[in-house]
Amino acid sequence: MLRKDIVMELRTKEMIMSMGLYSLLTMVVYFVALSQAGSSFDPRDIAAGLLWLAFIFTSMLGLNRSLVHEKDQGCLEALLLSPVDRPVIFFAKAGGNLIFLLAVEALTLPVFGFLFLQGTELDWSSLALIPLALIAGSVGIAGVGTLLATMSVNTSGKDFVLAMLFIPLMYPLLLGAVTATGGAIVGGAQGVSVFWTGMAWVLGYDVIMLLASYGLYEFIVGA
Amino acid sequence: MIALVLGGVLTLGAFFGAFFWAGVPDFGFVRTAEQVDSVRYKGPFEQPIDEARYLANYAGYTVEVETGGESVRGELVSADEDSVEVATDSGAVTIDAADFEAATVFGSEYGRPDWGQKIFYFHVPVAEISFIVFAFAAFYAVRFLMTRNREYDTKGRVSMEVTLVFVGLTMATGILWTKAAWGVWWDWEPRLTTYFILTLLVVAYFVLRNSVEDEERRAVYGAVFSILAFIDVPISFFITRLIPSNHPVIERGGLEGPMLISFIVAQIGMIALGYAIYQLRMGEVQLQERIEQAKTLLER
Amino acid sequence: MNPTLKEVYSLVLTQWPLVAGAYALLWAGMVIYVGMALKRLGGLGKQLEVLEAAVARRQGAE
Repeated sequence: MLRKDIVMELRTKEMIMSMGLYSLLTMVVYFVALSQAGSSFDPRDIAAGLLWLAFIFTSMLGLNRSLVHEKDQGCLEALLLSPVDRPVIFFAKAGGNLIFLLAVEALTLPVFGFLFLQGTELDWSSLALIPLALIAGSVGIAGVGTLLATMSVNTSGKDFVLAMLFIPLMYPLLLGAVTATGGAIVGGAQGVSVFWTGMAWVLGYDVIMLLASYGLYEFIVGA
Repeated sequence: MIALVLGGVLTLGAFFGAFFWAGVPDFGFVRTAEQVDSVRYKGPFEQPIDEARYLANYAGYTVEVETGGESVRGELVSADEDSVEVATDSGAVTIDAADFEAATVFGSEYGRPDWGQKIFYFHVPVAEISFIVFAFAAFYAVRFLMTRNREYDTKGRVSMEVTLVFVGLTMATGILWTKAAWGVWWDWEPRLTTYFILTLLVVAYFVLRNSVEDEERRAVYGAVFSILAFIDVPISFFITRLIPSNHPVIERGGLEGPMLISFIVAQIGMIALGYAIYQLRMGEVQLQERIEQAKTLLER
Repeated sequence: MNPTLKEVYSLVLTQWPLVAGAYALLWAGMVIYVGMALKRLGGLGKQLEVLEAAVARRQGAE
């Protein structure tokens, strides 16, 4: 299943292109939004927040599109008829979304650094911790997001309903992820300890929410 | 019905108890030089001072200044970095800062009553009930997913409606208390933020339900989401104990006497009211179902 | 009022409208909600009576 998603993607490059460009456009909006602040603020302080903002909204776009595709093509019904275990569908879909999200994040991160973090002092040893935070956070986003998107695709509100369900549920994860990423960007001994506190939050959230999503997915898919 | 009357009576009783019976706690204090007749008088205070310039704020107070081994006692006229002037019984005395050794200020202390605390008697029970009813809603959701019995879906939905009512009341009273206690209408601190997220989740539940057309699917989606949303409840409840926060945390045995009784009565009253509202809505839903049944019978 | 007393009761003076507002909200909210629910209940009950009488007549006629 996962292979099918990836093969389809490699052929059309639709998902990565659209998510990647969306992310890039968000950067442009950031530039405009922050243009009035001039150089009086330290971009390292808000970098984590801005990054995760971009990731959350890009992920919502990606989640929507991946499941709208499934629905339009009638793939989901065909899958349900096949002797595949329901939870496997969950892992396959979530895995696909996760890979796309990570790919986009890997592209966005250097671009963001290039655009906004020029001329600031960066602690490269703690920056290496950022991918950990990104992966942990993205796992949570992809897992819960897949569950919610499978629901929202069948509603009349579609992306609005997804946003309404997704953002409040994501709050603890977002808080932990931004704390962790912020700690890694700021660096130093204190930054690293803040990083691990944030990671504890993110990992705790991931475990609880992924278990819940995994358990509840079969009810959604069957309805 | 009984629950409604009981709830109403109890909350009314708690209301009177809270206002006329329970004492008002202090929130900070006020110090003055002379004693003013007041119920809030806490007693005299003594403030030791090391440096002359710190006396500057205490003009008009009775002070005792030690200088050169002697004590000068009287009313403080003025004080600054260079000298201290005290009006004693035998005339004004000026003490040079160089000779100043120590001083003590005497005055009266009054507690400032915190009237805003009265909100606590109802804000806390309403918040507690919102958590409890949410728990019921999640429980019914789980039972629904296990048995696929439509009754549980109805119970879950009505529970969520009652939760919405109580969540709304908690937010409203909470915002008013925030203004009364901290002077701002809102603050992004952990407890308020997670509870606001809870509000959004309860609203999202209804948005989800209203946007799905198929009955069965609506019930399943609603149940799944209420279970997911319920995960925020323990987070919201325990967060003040995990992260340092401005929100008051009640330790056991913090209240006593009339305050405690009023509080407990209010809690029981709110539980009764919550149950009453739930029964009212259930009755309404059941009547609606019977009307639908009668209509279909007639149309045949 | 004596300026000291004013300072002592300063919190009360600023807070009482908010406290009154909170209680008024609670009471109004509860009373209005329960009142509306009871009214709707009464209306639905009457509707049900009419419909069930019609059903009984229909069944009596059959």
